[in-house]
Amino acid sequence: MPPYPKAPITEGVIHLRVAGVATADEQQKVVHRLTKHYPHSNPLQEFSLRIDTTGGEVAVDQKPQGFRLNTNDQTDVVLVFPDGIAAARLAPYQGWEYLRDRARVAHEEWRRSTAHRAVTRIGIRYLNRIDIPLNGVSQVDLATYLAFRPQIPEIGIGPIVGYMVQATLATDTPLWSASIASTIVTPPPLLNHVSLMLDIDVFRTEQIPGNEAELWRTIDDARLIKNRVFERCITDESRKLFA
Amino acid sequence: MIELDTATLPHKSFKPRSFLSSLPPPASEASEQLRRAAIASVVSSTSTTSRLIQASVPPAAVTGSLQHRLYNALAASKIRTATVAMHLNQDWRTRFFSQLDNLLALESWDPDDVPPSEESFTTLLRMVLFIRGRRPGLGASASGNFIATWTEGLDRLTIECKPADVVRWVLIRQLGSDRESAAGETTLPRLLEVLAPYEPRRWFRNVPDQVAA
Repeated sequence: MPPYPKAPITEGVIHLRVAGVATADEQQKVVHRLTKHYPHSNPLQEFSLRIDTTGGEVAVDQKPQGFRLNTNDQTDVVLVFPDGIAAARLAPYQGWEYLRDRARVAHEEWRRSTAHRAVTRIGIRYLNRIDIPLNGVSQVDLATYLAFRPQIPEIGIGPIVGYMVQATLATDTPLWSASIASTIVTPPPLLNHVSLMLDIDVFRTEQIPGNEAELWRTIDDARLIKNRVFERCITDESRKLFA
Repeated sequence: MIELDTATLPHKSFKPRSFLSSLPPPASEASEQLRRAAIASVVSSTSTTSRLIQASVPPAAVTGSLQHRLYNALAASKIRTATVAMHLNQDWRTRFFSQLDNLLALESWDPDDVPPSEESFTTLLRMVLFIRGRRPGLGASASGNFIATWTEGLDRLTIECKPADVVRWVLIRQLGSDRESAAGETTLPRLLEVLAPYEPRRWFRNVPDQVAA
């Protein structure tokens, strides 16, 4: 179980991208094999819109992009893409091992159903939402809750009314990088609260193990990196909100 | 110090979109669906992958078979609940989902019925989190809104959850041998205040002293 009783995680995703593209039949096989765990499946479609600004014609194309599978309560999801597979968990978060094990099962079914394709990218993405009770105040100091926040020179006379910050950088663990983003969530899901999003994506695209056991040990490393990034982005006041 | 003004609606800047926060598009080929999704893809600022996951669900009241619409309404409700699940007791959530399963079961609906909307469910969810009351009974109005009911002895409170935090409430109180009823429409932030004359603590825990008095 997560260390925080009210973990702010709204989505946790483990995404494995592979070289090449699985055929439609291969994708269907993966879906079929996962049905016992995820009884609901729907195709994913990509829509593109073309507008001829001279003739005024509009054309819409749709292209299949895989499948989305989910459990009855909609909280466990697998996404089957032409170029990989992702397992995701919505809140309430059940801990790393829960998500990792689901991802591992999904990947095993992917491997059984498709031609061998090397994993080219490991991505672990966690969306966190920090819900801050207002308790009658009209202003919130971002620094009270976030260490990852905008740096604003004195150009205005009042508080900010919105923000978005994003950074991508190599982590202190070789071969791993992180993309971090934060913004305000509008509208906040809870009355009399302000909600701040902290989106952490830890990824690796080099020297990805081909051996399955080593691959999952590597993915377990990403959890530690993700946790470290998260803890460095928040403050003790935020931690109190998750208790 | 970076102060954030919570009283003013923020400018709608870029927002990192969740990986899979919405339902998938159904497999219907209605041209209206295509046009709606195409418009969504134009205005979306997210990457291709995110758009695939987040393609919006057509309104439950409009498209597809009744079974399809009910499934979409149920799935949307559960996904919406997941966004605040960290604030819900596990047992409460499980029982709440059972109520939703029963409410949106196919055998309880006629083909012309309008399943309740996601917007109405959002109001319902925000309300139950705000008032922290007992888990209500659930129903649905003919116009596609969720209805929450609480019964305490002969007293009954019914709240219809409309989109955008608008609630329409009706209550009946037994006062000795007299039966009193009242009704109104307000917004969620005002709900406890308008119910204050009727002892809202009978139904809700999160009632400040100055409102309950």
